[in-house]
Amino acid sequence: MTTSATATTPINGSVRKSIVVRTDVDRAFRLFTDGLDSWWPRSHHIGKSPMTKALIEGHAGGRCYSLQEDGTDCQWGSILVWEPPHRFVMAWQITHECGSAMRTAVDSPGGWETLLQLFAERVHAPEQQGR
Amino acid sequence: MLTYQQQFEALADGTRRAILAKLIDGPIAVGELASDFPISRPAISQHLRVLKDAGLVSDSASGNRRLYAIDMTGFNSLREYFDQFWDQALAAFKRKADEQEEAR
Repeated sequence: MTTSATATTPINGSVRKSIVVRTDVDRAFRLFTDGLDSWWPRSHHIGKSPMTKALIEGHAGGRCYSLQEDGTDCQWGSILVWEPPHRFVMAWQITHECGSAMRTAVDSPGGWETLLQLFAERVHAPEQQGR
Repeated sequence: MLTYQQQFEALADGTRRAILAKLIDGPIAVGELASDFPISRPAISQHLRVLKDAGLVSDSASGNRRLYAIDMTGFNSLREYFDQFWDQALAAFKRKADEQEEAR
């Protein structure tokens, strides 16, 4: 659920997505996080030079970042909650300050199918001060 | 044509994000805005210019004042960008997961 401050604004900033993949929850979580580099679209990067690798550090406080062709790295966000294999929450950041939060829930609706849900909130709404 | 890169760069500044947060409450004149920030009025104007060029803020005349407001069109296109991006990203994730299962 979107938190209070943005609910009163005319901006509906959340993006919600879900997808079912035919794999078990452990493998889905591992692919999404450890395997980030193997599926992350290369067209999307925020560094000045093309990215060579996308990485997530699997612990609360860990970084989500990319290595760039020019040898620099570029941090996209920080892990706020790390609860493998069902959930992680990260804060995207445009600079060193936090921008918006993305919650990722990975669940098994049955058998070996895995439901992955993504809640990216306030992705385009300006951040509120002191929140 | 606006580029998303330009919008991201405009949003990459804390003062500009704070200005946008202020504008959410409604249109405001530079003078009023300047009184809320510890920076000069010309500096505020400069930030507003960057936001306007990025399509995130619009301005309109109101009497002898100029009012600045959130440009919903710009924000909606940015939202659309993320929406499409995540469709692509999750489709790529699914392809990879399928590939991984087939290889098992």
